[in-house]
Amino acid sequence: MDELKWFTDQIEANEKTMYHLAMGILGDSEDAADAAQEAILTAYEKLPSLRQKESFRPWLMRILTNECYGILRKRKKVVSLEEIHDLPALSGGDENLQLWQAVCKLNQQLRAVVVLYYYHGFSGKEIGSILGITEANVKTRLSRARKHLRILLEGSE
Amino acid sequence: MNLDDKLRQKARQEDIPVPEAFHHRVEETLHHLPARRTRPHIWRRYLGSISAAAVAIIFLLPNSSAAMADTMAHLPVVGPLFQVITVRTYEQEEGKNHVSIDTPQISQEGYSSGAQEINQEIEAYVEQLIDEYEQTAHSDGYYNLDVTWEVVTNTERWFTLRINSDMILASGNHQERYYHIDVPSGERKRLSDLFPEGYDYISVISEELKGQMRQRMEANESEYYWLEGTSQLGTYYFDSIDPNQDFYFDDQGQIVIPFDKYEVAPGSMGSPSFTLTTPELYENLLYQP
Repeated sequence: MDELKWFTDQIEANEKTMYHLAMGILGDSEDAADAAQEAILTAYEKLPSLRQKESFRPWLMRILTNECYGILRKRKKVVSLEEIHDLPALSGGDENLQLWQAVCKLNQQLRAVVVLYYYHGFSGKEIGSILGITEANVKTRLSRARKHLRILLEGSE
Repeated sequence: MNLDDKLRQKARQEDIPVPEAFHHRVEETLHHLPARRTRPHIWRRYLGSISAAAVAIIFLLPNSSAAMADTMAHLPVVGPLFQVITVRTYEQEEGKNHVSIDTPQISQEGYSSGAQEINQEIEAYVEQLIDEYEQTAHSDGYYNLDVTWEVVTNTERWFTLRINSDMILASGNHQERYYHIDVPSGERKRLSDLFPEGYDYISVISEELKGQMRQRMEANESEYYWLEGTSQLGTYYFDSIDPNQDFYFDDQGQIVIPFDKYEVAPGSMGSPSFTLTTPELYENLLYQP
């Protein structure tokens, strides 16, 4: 298959994951679009260096994560892991998105892990690779996120 | 059902919509991809050289071997007073991670406080990059970093060294740092040194930059800068330069202000730079390249 066509298909198949991850880290849809755009350009440019095409999805998410962190660094929006903020809801007040509403209330580091693990089925190892942290750290963050989500979901039920 | 399963099930049931604006941006980006890649990057030379699980750290020191001494003898001499050599190369390959850092050092015939200060600063900067790499890179990562240097200006009056830092694969970030020396005095100079005390160069330069950004946006709708009144983001605007904003002189002797990615524009704009043309600035300039 033509490489450009293959790449386009892959991006389109992963568009939702890209949006959720970028929103999970940045909490702003315009920023998320900036990060996604730059990640697509970078991924396309670097595609020949990706030897195992089946690794495309975590590789793309890793690139996107770095774009998001680059934006955070430049714009000093980083939220400390220890702080739990009530961030603005990421997508309105849809009652059908009860978990998503709760996820929005986590800090950005926990949000990213939850998005990748629960919404998009990445393994702990893959998440570690995407976010540049150890697998043990992923487990710690998931455990923390679960604690917060339990309280947040109980409160909303 | 335990909490883990409950969360998994809830996540499966929720279909979080992708906003039209995001979808449009993705489609637009895909639509404009070239059939053949054109953006030149240093990473190309590493393709095919990334070997699995091989870890190699190489420190090349001057005169550490006859071959090295010979190589150093052929490094570019950039002028009668100042010359730059690579004193150390740090290279590491580990799985998908790769880093290559050339550490330059400015040497001079006589004593130069500027050269000494800049050499120390570059050394610290390189240490910081290596630390960041060692903390970030791990066996499953995709961290590529390439640091190179370049002499931008070398005349009897002015010397400028640029350090390029390309974070490759993982983020595509490109950063530049500029170091300047007034050649006659051998002193290091920054933007604030270029103008007489009391002259409000910050406002003059900032206003010109904002004017140029507006003009570029009007002339080309694909260009976009974070300016008050034009940005839809509402969270960050470029308003004023740093008193010691990075700069360099181009070959016409005009001041160029380079910005890092994301500093004044979305990442898709790359690292934009602006050549200053306000006559008043040049009338007040204390140094010429």
